[in-house]
Amino acid sequence: MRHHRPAGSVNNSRTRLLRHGTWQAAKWKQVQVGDLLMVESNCLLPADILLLSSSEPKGICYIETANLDGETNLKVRQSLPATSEHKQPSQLHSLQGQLVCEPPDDDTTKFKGSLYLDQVRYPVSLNQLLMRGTCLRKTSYVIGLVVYTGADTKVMKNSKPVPLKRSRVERESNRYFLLLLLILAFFTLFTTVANMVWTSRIGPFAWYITNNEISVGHFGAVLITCFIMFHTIVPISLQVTLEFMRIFQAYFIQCDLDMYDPIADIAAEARTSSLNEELGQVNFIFSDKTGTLTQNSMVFQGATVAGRMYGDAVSNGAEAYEFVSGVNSMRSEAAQGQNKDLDDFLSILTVCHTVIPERDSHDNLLEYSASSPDESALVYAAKDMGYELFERSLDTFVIVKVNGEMRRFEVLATFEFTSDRKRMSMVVRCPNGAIRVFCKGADSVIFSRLQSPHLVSETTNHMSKFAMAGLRTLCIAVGDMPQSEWSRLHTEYENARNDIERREAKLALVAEKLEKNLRLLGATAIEDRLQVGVPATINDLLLAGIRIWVLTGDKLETAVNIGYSCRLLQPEMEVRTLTGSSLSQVRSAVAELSHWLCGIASVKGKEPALVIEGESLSWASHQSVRNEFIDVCLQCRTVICCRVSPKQKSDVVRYVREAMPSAVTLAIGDGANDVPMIQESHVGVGLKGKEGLQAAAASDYSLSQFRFLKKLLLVHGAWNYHRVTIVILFSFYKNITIYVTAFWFALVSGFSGQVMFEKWTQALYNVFFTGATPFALGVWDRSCSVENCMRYPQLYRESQGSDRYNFKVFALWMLNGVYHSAIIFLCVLLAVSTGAVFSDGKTAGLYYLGSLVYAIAVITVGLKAGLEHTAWTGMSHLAIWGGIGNYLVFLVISSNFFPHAGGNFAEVVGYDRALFGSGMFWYLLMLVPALALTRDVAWKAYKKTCRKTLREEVFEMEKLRKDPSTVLFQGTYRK
Amino acid sequence: PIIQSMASNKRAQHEMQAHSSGGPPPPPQYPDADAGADNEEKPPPPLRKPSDSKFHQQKLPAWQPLLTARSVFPLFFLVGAAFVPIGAVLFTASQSVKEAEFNYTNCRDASGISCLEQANKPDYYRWLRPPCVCNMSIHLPDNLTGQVFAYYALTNFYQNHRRYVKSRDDSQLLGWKPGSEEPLQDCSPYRQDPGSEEPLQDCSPYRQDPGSGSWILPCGAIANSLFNDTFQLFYHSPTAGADLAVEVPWTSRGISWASDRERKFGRVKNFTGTSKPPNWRLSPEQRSADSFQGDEELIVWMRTAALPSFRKLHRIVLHNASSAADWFKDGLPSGNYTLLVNYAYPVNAFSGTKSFVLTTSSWSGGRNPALGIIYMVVGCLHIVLGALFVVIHIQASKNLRSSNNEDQQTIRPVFL
Repeated sequence: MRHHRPAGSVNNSRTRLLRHGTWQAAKWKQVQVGDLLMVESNCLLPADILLLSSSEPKGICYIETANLDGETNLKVRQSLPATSEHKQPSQLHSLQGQLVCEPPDDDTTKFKGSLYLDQVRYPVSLNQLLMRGTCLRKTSYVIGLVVYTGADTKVMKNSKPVPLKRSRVERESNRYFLLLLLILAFFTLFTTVANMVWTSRIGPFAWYITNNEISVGHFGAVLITCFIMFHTIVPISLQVTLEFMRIFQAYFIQCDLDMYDPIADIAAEARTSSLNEELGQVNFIFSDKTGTLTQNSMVFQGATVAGRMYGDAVSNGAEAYEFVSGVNSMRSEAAQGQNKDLDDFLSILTVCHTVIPERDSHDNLLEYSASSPDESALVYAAKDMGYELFERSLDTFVIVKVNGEMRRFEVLATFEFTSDRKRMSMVVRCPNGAIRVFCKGADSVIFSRLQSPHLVSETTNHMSKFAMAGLRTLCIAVGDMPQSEWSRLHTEYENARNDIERREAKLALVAEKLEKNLRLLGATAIEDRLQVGVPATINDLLLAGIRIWVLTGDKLETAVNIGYSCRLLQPEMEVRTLTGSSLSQVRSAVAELSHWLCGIASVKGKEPALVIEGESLSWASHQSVRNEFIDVCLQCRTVICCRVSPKQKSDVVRYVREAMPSAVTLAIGDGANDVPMIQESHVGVGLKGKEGLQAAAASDYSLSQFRFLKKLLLVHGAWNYHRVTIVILFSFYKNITIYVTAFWFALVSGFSGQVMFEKWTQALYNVFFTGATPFALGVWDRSCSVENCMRYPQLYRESQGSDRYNFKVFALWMLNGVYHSAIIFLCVLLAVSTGAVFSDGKTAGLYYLGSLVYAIAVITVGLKAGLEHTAWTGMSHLAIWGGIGNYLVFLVISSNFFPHAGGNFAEVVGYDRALFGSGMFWYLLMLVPALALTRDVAWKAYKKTCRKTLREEVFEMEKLRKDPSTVLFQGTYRK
Repeated sequence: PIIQSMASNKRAQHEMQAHSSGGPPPPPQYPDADAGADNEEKPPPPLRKPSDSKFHQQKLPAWQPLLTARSVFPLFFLVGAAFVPIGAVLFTASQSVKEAEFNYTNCRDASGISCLEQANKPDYYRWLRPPCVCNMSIHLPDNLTGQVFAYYALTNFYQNHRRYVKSRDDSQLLGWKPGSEEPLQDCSPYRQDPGSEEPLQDCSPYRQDPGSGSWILPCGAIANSLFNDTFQLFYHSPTAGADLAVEVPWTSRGISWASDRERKFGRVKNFTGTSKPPNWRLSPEQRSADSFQGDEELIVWMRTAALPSFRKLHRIVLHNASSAADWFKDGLPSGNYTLLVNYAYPVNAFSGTKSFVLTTSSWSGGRNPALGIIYMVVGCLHIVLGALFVVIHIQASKNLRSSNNEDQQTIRPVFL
């Protein structure tokens, strides 16, 4: 019910299948392996298909894989040349062959197979596979062969059944329930056995009592009677109270204006209410990057060109740096056209990429379609400075419009960016005829391919400033190539390109030969724009004692960059990377890391951080290394996992859960690729982002901005944890307090199971007389002010552990209940011992004793609830005084009911006059609650004076109108 | 154009977000990229904006008591100051009540036979034989001034035992029998089951007479075990002759709760076809003309006691009775009395005792110093606690002052 999935509507979505020589509409559920399928632009793919051909030349198509890995940029897939021209049904019909591929698995980064067409074998790879859940973009249609369907598809293999989540408090409480059942069993059995002993020793002589022999039937009857009498100490109504309370709590989460995004008109949503208190206990946050921490929009902010820096990182007083954009100065300088280096620099930005300009029928530029947001940011920036990418034909030419003048660059060779090479190069023939190598890439790979160290130190210096401000940098270099050398390499390049099986490796070899003797031009600085308030939120969550791990499908460099810009990684931290492509490599790397951690523990001020690559992660999760690996991770202040699949994300969460069973994990993400992680963690938070609603639909709470997480945890979480725990403890306590008196009474009534309360009065205890108090406590109590919760995230640590709700606390509360019940019963017993309590000499009886005990217990319990309140709202007054008032009113009604409603209320006829008219009632009413609660008040006052918790101290300061920070925190806390 | 406008709207949104939340300044604009985008377009009206009420934003005004030593010590003193005098007054009131209790369990008859053993036989209890009559000389050391009440007291008698408490039928006691004058017409003859005349099962075995098979009225163990000792009290006035004994006039009228007489016990007009409880000497109509409403001894007995030792009000002394001249106008004078007991109620079997109690009453009820003593003890406890918290308060503020001068507690972000 909770994560209701519109499965039916998915299964009935439409697509087109080739049947009987024509394209026919069909439902998704009709798609079978081996079918030929046509998918149109902006449609989701219904199955994993092998791309055969597309509307574009050479069988190219563009897909968006946001649902799989969260990346919103477009990716290019290309069909085999052998099939790329088969577009008509008749052509496809003539296509006879066989596809051999791996059995279905969950790895979205791997696919291998062979297509046999007319006995010729063509290797197929990921480059031809379009996975279910991806979306076709900028391509009118694709035609493909269905490889995997339904549950066998990669995306489905990555998903898991929706788990049933229960909070830690709830799991703990269930144990307490069991314990209470044991206490119930003890009371029942003890009383039954004592009854047997009493009956055998005194029973035969108590001639006035009837049917007083011991027999099996008698034993059974007494057992049942005692059980019925004592079962009320188990607060069955607690579950109902909790459920109602949580609905209100969830409602308040949804109503919070501080978590409402007015731009998107999205309020927070609590999709479940059973985890409200879990929000107050989070130890780990696993966050997605793209769309969660960042907006996934890159903005060019500055550059360093030939030793001159455009833009600067300016310290803003605190530890953080702000970047002053250098775009304007760059633009004005470019407009003058004097700077040759700048001209080269901008030319490279405009030419060296894989961006395609999209134009409409009137030749107006629609958009630059880039496979990475970085590239598009660079191209847009160059355009802004007068270097407009005008037209481009893949692998042939690029036309650049510079201040109205068209420049045509002939593309001779393209070496695309891969994570191994960390650079992209192009060989172009410039408008003046010279052949040049344009190269952009990470500083490490560029610097080693330079002709001379000219500019290196300046550039490095500038780049470190960029990095300080959290910007992503790319080095730009250029190289000249004599015509002769190119002629020689050209053939090698063509050979490599035409090699089907080892194309990548061969191209890389050629590239190595080209990319040397480069001349460094400078570097670009791109801001991966964080969502609003992310660094501050992360800082506060860290202060709250929460550890934040970032799990992203992104590249390592990107992930690390974001780590710095959102302050998860800090300059004083020592960051290590875990890489390795085999078990043995990873094993030794883990051992090395563990050694490193031992060393770093002794160095003050150095904090370890770890970056893990997806591939090494899969090796590290092998049984033999996993424990040591997780151990290493847990010792690091933060961990960033990059290039991880959805499944791996959830695996990481699971490993941490297994390694630290008591820790509460929270996963936050916005894409379908985050769903497994959201489901695996204790609390799943989905962002209603641009990447669709899958994450939000699978989550327990959904927000529209990452920064709202702070209030969700620090205020709602902390409050609700306090509320739920206190309500559970209080509910147990209040039942113990009143119903253990039955045990004390059993001691003086021959263990007979006689109840001293009128049965309706007893039954309404949890509903009318004390039912509202836990509710008021659980819905309206505020353990700390919003302002302080937000300003002092340290307060969160109080709820994080189990200091305030554990077995000891529970046992003490229960003992307190037993103590109160004993005080109440003993006082009443002494007061009415002779039975002559009225001034007119009349005597009272059994139910008079019971009514006194009951009235005093109701008041004591009500006042105890008042003591547990930190904030008495009108609701609290209503609940506490209303509950007591209810009892008094009910007493009057019930005393005057008999004989108008069957035999009910016969026991309490005339009790209103008897109780209200006797001084005894009022004296006891004043005395006993005061006596019972003396201990509670004294202990509380002692603790709040001499052993204050942080929260209490802040609360006190707030009350005294002092600034808590001046007294409490000095040093590291930064506003 | 759709794609373009969507894309640029997104961008516009980001900027608005950035502005609204005081974030970093918006990025430089790319004029061409945004060409054609409607930057003036307003965001859609906030349909899902939550209500800004104090209730919805959890900002209800609240009283936040601060429970520290400083705020509780006045409270403790206050409670202490109130409780000690209350306790003293209650204690005094209780002490002002004079009572005299006479245990007659082991009373012997004129021939010296122990009534305790005699009465142990059911025949005695049922008055099939004449009860054991015993005379007990008792001495009142002090005057009992004011209204005097006579109680009988039993110990070790579990009137609160479950099997005993439930063995009654309230509707019978209300008088709802066929042929009787029914208080509630629509409830006749038995409210629970119109066709039946049977007493509740709870009453068994005292439900049906084994001999005649007729229903027992009133049924049940409580009624059957009705206390049936009777008392007469004679005063030996020092001014009158030694042999002259004046019987103390008393009445059973008014010993029961008015509410019981009005609402729980009705009148049974016709007892034909019913049997009396087996242990009773007299039938209900013989005991009182308007049974059960007039049978106040029964009414008192049927209100079962809370504890195994209990007293029940038996008689109220008539201080203005013409028969007794002026002897008892102001209460019972001190001196010698004779208590004549028709001893029939068996307590030997369960080792119980029987006592006869004469007592006055005060506004706080009978003599029971417990409440006053507890009040005083609690009051003293609170005063002590109050003093203790004054000390704690002084100590704590000293510590605070000294710690203010020392190094502050610092909180650093922790990691495990």
